[in-house]
Amino acid sequence: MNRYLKLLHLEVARFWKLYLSLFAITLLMQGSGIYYESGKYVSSVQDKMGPAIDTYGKYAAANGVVSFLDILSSANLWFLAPIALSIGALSLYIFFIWYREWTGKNMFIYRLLMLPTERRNMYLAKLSAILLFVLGLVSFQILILPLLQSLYQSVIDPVLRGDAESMMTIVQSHSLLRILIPSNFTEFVLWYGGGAVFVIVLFTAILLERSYRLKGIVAGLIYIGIAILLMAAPYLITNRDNYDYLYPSELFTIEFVIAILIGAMSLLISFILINKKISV
Amino acid sequence: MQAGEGGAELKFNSRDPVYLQVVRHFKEEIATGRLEKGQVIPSRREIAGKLKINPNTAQKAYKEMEEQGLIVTEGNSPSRITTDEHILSLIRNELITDAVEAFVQSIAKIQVPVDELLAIVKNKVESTYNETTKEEGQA
Amino acid sequence: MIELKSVRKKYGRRKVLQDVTFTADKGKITCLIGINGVGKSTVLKAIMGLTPIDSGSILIDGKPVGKHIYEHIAYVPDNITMPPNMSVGDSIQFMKDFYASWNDERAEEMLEFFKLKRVDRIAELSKGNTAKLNLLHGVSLDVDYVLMDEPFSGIDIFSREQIASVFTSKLVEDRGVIITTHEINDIEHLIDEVVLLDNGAVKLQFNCEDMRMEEGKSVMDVMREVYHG
Repeated sequence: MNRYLKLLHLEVARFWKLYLSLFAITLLMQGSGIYYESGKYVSSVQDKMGPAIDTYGKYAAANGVVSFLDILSSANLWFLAPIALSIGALSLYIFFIWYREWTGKNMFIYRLLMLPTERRNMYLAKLSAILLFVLGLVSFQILILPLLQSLYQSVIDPVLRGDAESMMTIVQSHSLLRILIPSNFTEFVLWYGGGAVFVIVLFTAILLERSYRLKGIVAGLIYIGIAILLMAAPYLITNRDNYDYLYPSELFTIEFVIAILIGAMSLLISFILINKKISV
Repeated sequence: MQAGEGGAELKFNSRDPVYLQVVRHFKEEIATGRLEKGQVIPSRREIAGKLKINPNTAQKAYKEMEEQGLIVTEGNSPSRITTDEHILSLIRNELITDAVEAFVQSIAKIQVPVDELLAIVKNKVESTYNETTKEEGQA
Repeated sequence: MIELKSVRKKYGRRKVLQDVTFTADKGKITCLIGINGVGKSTVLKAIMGLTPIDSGSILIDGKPVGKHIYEHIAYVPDNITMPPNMSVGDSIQFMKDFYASWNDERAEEMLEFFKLKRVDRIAELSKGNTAKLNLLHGVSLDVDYVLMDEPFSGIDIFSREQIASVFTSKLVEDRGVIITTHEINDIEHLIDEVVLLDNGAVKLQFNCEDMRMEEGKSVMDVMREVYHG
C-alpha cells in the first residue's frame, strides 16, 4: 500500500465516527419525515371519508392519487435538514481537517511533515478525503431513496397511490436532488469539478494562513476573491450591453478552462507552500 | 538501558575530563584489589549504563586504558585487566604518588614541620580507616 | 555531520535566530544550551524543515533538507506527535507503516523497558509516559541523527532517570544526537559537545572533555563566564 493511500485511509478513519453519524441522522430524519407525512396523508384521507366516500378507491377517484414526490415535498424540511447538516459539517471539516493538526496538545503536524514521503501526498490525502466524503454522502442519499419510497409504499394503501415513479423521475423533479445527483456527465463535471476547485482554493487560503499567519489571512482572502472574480469574469463581460453574445456552450468551455487553470494554479501554490513555507 | 542497577556509584566532578575519571576509577579498583589481574571487565556499553555516562566517553576511557596497558582486548572477546605485574604495581605507585603530591602541594603553603605533620597524618589516617571498617561492618 | 551556517530567522519583527553557525557530528551528543527564549527549539525545527529560515544554510551530511532526510534524522519534540485518540499500539503501527528505517525489535524492547501498554490511548497517558512514548517514536528509527527538544523537562524524577538511561545505552551509540536544555546539571556528564546560544546567536561551541582537560572548567563554569561575564 503506498503512502498516499495510507494517509487517505488515516483521514477516513479519523472522520469515520462523525461520518457514520451523518449517515444515521440522514436515514433517521428522512425516514421519519416520509413515515410521518405518509401517515398524516392516510389519516387526512380517513378524516375526509364519510358515508358517500367509504372506500379508498372512491376517495382516489374523487380526489386523485398521491405520489411519492408529493409526500417528499410535504416532508421537505425533514428531507433537507440532514442534507444541510451534512453540507455544513463537511464545509467546517474543510478547515478542521487542517487546523486540528496544529491545535491542542497533540502536534500531529510535526509527524505529518516529517514523513519520508512527498508532502503533497498529505495534501492530496486530505483533498481526496473531503471529495470522497461528499461523494459518499451523495451515494448514500441515492441508496436510501428506494428505501424511503418503500417506506411510503408500506404506509399508504396502493389504491391511494399513483404509479410508482422511477428514481430518475424523482431525482429530476426535486430541486435539490437534481443538483446533487446530475443526470449527465457534463453536469457532474460542472457541479463536482466546480466543488473540487472550490475546496482546492480554500485549501490554498488555509495554507497561506498557516505559512504567513496574519498576513496569510489577508493573502488568503484576496486569493479567494481573485478566484471568484476570475470565475465570474465571463458573465460580467458578456452581460454588458452591445457586447457579442456567447453561446452557452462557449461560455461553459471558457468557464471550464478558467476553473482548470485556477485549480492547477492553486495546487501549484499549495505544493510550494507545503514544501517550503509552512511552519509548525 | 539499565536503570537502577546496583554497584559502585561513581560521583564525577565536573571539572576533570569524565573519561580520565573513569580510568582513575578503574585504577582504584585495581589498586584495592576489587578488580583482579586477568579479570573480565564489563563491556563499554555496560559500563556506560552503570556509570551513567555516554557510550562515547566509555569508549574513550577504554581506549585510554588500553593505551596505558591497563586492560587488554583480544579480537572480539571481552576486555580483561592486564596480567602484567609490572603495570599493576605501577598503578598502585601512581595512585599513591598522585595523592601524596596533591597533598604536599597544598600543605607546603602552611609550612608545617615534617614530624608534626606525619603525626597528624598518622592519626587522621588511622581514624579514617577505622571508620571505614566500621561502616563496612555495619553494611 | 549537521552543519548550520549563518542561519537567520524572524517571527514578525522579532529576530529569533540572528546568526546561528555550528556543527554536530555523528557519534556525538551535542547539547544546545540557552537560558532564555525560543531559539533552541527553532534551531531544531529549522534543521527538520518544519519552519522556513530567512537566510543561511542547513546541510545534513552535505545535503539540504528534503523528504529523503526523514529516514536519516529523527526529531523528538517537547510534545507527542501523534493524535491523542490513537492508542500506543496504533501509533507504533503508524511509524512502522511509514518509515523504512523503523526498527520494530527496538521499539518492543523500549516498550517493555518503559512499561508502556499497547492498548492505552495516548490522551490517557501520564506526562512521563507520554514523554517516553514520544522518545520511543524517535529513537526506534534506525537513523544517523536524533534531535531532542528538552527531553527532561517537566517530568517526574523516575521518568527522568529512565530517559537519561537511554542516553547511556546503545540506543544513541554511533548516532549524532542534538538535545536542547535550559538546565545542564542532570546531563553534564552525558554530553560531548556544547553549543551556547544567547539571544538567538551562537556564543561558543566547545567539547566538554577538552574544556575540562585544557582549562579545568566545567560546563557550568563556561556558562557563567559567557552569560554573566
